[in-house]
Amino acid sequence: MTLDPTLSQIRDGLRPFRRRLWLRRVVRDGTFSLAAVMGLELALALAARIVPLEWGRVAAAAIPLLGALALLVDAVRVRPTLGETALALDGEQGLRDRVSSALEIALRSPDLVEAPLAAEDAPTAEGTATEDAATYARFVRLQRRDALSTLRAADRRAFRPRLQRRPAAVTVVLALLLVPALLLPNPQSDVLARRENQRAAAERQAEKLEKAAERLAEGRTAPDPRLDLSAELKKLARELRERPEDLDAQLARLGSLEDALRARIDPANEQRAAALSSLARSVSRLSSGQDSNPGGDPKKANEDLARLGEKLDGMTKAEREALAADLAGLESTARQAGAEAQAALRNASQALGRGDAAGAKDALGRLGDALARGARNVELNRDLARTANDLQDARRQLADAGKPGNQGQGQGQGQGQGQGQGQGQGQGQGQGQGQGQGQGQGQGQGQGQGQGQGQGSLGGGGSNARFLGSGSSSGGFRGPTAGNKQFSTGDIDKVLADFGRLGKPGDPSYVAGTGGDGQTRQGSGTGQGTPSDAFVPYTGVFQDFYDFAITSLERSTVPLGVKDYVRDYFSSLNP
Amino acid sequence: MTEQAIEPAATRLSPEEFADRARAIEREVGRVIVGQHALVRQTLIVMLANGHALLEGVPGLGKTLLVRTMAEVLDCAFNRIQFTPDLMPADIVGTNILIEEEGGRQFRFQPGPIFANLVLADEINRATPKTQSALLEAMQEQQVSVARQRYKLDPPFFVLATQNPLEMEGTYPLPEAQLDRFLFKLWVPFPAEEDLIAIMDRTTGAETATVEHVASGADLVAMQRLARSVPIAPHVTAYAVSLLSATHPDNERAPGLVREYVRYGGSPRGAQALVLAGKISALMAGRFNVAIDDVREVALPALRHRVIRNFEGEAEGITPDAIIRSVLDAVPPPRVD
Repeated sequence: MTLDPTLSQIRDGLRPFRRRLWLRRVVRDGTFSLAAVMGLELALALAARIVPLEWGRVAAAAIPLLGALALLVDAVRVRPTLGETALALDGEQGLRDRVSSALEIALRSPDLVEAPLAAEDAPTAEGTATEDAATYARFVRLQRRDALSTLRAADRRAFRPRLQRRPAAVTVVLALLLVPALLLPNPQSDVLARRENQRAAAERQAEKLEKAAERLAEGRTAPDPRLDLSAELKKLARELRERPEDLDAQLARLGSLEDALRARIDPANEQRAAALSSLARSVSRLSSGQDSNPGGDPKKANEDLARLGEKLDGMTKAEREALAADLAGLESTARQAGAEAQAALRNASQALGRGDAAGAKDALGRLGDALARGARNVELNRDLARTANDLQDARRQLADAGKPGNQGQGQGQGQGQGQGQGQGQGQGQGQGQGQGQGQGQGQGQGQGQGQGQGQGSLGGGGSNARFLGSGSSSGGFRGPTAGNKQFSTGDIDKVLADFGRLGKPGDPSYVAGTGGDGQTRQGSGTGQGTPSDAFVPYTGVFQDFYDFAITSLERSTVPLGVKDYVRDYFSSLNP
Repeated sequence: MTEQAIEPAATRLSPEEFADRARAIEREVGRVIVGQHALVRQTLIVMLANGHALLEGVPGLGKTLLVRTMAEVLDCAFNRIQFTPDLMPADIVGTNILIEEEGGRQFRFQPGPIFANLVLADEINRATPKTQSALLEAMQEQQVSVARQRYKLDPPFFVLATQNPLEMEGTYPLPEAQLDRFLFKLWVPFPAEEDLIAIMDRTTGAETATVEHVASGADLVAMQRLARSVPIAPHVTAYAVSLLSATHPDNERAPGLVREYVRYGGSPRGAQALVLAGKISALMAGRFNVAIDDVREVALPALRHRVIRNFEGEAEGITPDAIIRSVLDAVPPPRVD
């Protein structure tokens, strides 16, 4: 089929106009899209100032992309047809429907789309249907020629892209509103940062808990309670990873487990450990006659006791009596090491006194076993305590991550005194417990916080005793009982409070604590100590002091800040 | 019933000749009718559309002169019928009269004044409805029936009726069915002052303006035929239909004025009038296609007598022209951006 050349020329002539019309439509719709994007961005920015939107940045980046995508789809959709172009051109340039009529009538008269009429002007019978058809066809051709000439004369710059005034104005206004909405500080940013910190802290604490769980399970076999604890820690770590935002619940879980662990910890574990070590050293010395077990290793002591039992048969009566007396001298230490050890020691001493070598040998064997079991219990308690500390650290880290940036600070001071038993003199700072003879004098610092309750740690007396004994000291901290508090940060304060968050006078929420009396009290006491070497290397006793301090912290209700303070103190002393 | 018809002589015209001849007619009529260009053009459109026109205006505005001049310019047979309350249908269409010839008596049809190419029905609203309805068949079918005999009217056949809007006492307003037969209802405006001065000069002097025949009845028929052959684009036809639809109060595009004050909208004849008059308007403008503007230009005369106002509309003086203008505002030309 050969298309009417005039019609073809009309179609060809319309194509440049179609492209320009298309561009105009894209620009028009682009203005709308831009206004919509600006509006959505502004709405998002305003919403992000009211509620913390963690997906806000993603959405802010996605909105322009979606707008561009919508514009792209729209650009395909609004591509004008030639008929639309003809109508638009007629309207734009006042062509009185010439071009559009030519195209539309061509569609309605497919028989006239082809070649031009060969006999267009051929005579036809007047008043007949043939003449009417010929006249119609002649009009169609005339219309096309008229349309083509009109099209050629049309302004080629038609359909200039133009911005829609209203959406363009709206876009400008929205952009002006958007600038301050984006540039002014957003109060919700802190909330988002806190949440991010919370997630990071949860991840870190989860890793720590998993390491602790692995440490607990390492080399253990059932039915060791540490295996159950390891599984529980792993479960906690998994929950921390899965729901880091559920801070209160996580803190409650950690606290619950920590409380359960602390309930299981023997408060006198370190005393028992010290007593066990002392007893082990002593029995080894009795067996070998020299300081063969300076570390107080229960295994070594067990072996020494076995050798001592072997030597009983060869001892004279006097030697046995001397040995019985030595063993009796260790009874107070054995009492602190445990009832089983005390009973075994007493039985051995009594058997020796009776001259019952076999009974003494058996009792010494039981004493060795008691020492070994005691050592295992000490180790278990230490593991539990360490895990509880890890849980406490995790709680503190999580709570800190969930707290807002402002913190109050406060400090209280007081002096305390440790009372010890034994002989000797000591002076120190911090917390301590002395044994032997001496006077304890110390100065302590405490900090109160939380709900106005302050509690200071004891400033105990140091000791130059060779060995830590079983003496106990107590001292009252005279620091503030109601610490300063600057402000409240909600429920978090009820769970944990920070060290340096105490308030200052003048603050509405400032609650003054009761100050210490500033007096130093000295006390003295006498007790039965063990022979000691006066000088002990610092590195040799540090761990003992550290363990004792940590245990003391765990078995009493001590504010976290003070615990940190004590830990930091020992960390600074750590050789 | 038998039929007697007179076949017209037809000539073939080109669109350019159409426009030239129409302009010549307008020019020649303008030698007598001062001003009133729109009225002359619309009257000519009615004649080229093979329709009828109802001219409404106060006395003395040249309605009768216009029709008479048209008849002279077109070299058509012209009859004037002065409608009065006692005018009977037979006075218009004719009657059988008893005559004696060839030794016997027989009835012979005596054609009435309707048998002309151009009939001026002056003050048509003064005749009774019965007499008015005698025009119905002639206007629609271009024939009359008398005593079971049908008589074809010679083409071209136009009825140009006039009515006086002031003296309504003792008149019989045309029924809607008859109004619908008129292609246009033309409002004859009062001349502007400069036109009045020219009228004074022409009519009070010694010379009387004369016109020449510039077209014949056959030319008019050929022009009518050519006008009907003009192709019209579907979107233009659709626009004419939209305009007509919007005159109906229950149409979704109807403006408030139509919804409130119109009882019935235009009939399909209204859309036919819009399209046909649009074609002629385009040809007279020298174009071969009908534009939407052509349709809008003829909307007022083509629709104003087809819109039937309700009681509120008449009581509040809402004119049909105001209603049609609101329709034109409510139905803008299709626009592609």
